[in-house]
Amino acid sequence: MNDWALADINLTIHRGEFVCITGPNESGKTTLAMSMNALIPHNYQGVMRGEVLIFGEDSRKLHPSQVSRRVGLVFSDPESQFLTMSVEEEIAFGPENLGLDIDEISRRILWALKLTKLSEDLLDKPPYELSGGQKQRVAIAAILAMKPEVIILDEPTSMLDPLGKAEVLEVLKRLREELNSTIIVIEHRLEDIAPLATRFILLNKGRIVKDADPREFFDDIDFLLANHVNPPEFMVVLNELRRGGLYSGRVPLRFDEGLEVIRRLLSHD
Amino acid sequence: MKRTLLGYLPLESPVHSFHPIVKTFFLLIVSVYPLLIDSPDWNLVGIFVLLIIFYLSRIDVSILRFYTTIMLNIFWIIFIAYTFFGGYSPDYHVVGRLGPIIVSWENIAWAFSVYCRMFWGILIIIYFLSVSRERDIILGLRWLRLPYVISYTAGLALRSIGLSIIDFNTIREAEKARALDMGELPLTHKIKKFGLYIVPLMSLALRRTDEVSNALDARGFSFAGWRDSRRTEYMLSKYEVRLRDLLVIALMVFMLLALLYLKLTTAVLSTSNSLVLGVLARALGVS
Repeated sequence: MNDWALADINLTIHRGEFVCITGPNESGKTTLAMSMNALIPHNYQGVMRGEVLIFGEDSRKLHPSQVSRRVGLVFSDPESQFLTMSVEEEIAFGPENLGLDIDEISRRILWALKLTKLSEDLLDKPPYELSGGQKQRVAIAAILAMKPEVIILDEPTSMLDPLGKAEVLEVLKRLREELNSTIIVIEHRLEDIAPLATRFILLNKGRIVKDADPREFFDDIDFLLANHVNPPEFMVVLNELRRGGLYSGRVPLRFDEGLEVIRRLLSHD
Repeated sequence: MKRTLLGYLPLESPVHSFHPIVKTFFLLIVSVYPLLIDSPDWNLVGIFVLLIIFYLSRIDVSILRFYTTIMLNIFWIIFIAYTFFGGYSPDYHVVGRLGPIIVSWENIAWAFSVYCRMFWGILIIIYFLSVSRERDIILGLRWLRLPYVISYTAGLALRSIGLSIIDFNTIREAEKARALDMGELPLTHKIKKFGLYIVPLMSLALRRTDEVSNALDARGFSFAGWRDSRRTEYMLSKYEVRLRDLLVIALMVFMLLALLYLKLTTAVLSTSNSLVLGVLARALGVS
């Protein structure tokens, strides 16, 4: 057995962190996400060695439906996670399974709609008829309504157009600002996540090759490129300027900060 | 417009004001009516009444034209099966012979009677699917206290029909994009290459099963015996059974009991007194 999807993973996620897990295709990101809510090993055949502790309990002893009360998972394809034929039923489905009372479910639906900036007019619509960004926001709202302590989002913007992507990223910003939850986002494209996350984990061929805070993570751009990760382009530009001796500072995390650095460099010329 | 399983229903339709349980009872009770009626006269009356109900429900009756081919095919299958392979008894009235096959009036009458029954039955199902959403089916079955897993499976099964049609069209387009157009092939080739549809459809269905299973787990769903708390009926709480719902259900049940009584104690619903069959018999020269 040489082809482990994940190997030598020694990882602890702390309460309140906003973690971004990134890496090239087939690096094991989705496998890692599904291990965190017990879908692996319960729903997938395979060999698992070691242990995954979810709030101190072995995931092998927990059923995914039990874990989902504390760990929510949003999949990359919003349509694959729709279980009902209206937005209201979709968002209510999770709280119904938790056995909450009717008034509480009603409150949570409205709260989840507000947090994901979805209109109440959409409640009666089939989720399949919504735009890509709306669909993903409904999927996020459906998990939020369960108020899990940990929210995992597996490539939430991968199937979206730029407008849909912007809508979902706006939701992630609000989640970070307004909730005390631990958020784990799996993303390829880092330009929008870089200012949000408090920790970055780089996976390649099933192994963690880098685990650092954002400043340290993006300080070695060449390392990221060698591991098939595409950092934001302004970081690549500044890295090249740094390599050419034209810039000696750290790579900024935000585009506006990067623009300011370039403006200062040009004004010195 | 509100989307239903078979299309769209205008918001002005009076059907929206009824509790989902009324639609469930409609399917369960009214679909039994044709089974109790042998006489084509009464089945045709039922068809006529149902078409009026279609109109009053604001369903676009022109959708029925999509089912013309199916209904014609069913007619020919029943006609051939009963007329040529329905058997023969010496007291039958012989209408004609086709080699060793005897065509008798009784078999033709039965073919016509069965077809009218089936036509009405299919129309009842079309009406039900035209006015019902998946939610109505689930809530109707939940109101009857059926386990959630049964009601949800019923709704999912109905939804999967539409999804399978979408998958089928996707596969067909993908094959056309790779220079395989089944529409151009002769029938024998179509049958031979049928596996090219079935295999991807099955694998898509299995993949969807996987996705639904993961999504159900991710939302905390589990079977009743495994759960430590009762599942809340939030959606059911949004509907209230009112007097008009009870009156309609009572009417349907009363009709069912009346038909049962007439079937078991009288010949009113039998073919013996049928005016339509009488006209057909005279047209065929049967005395």
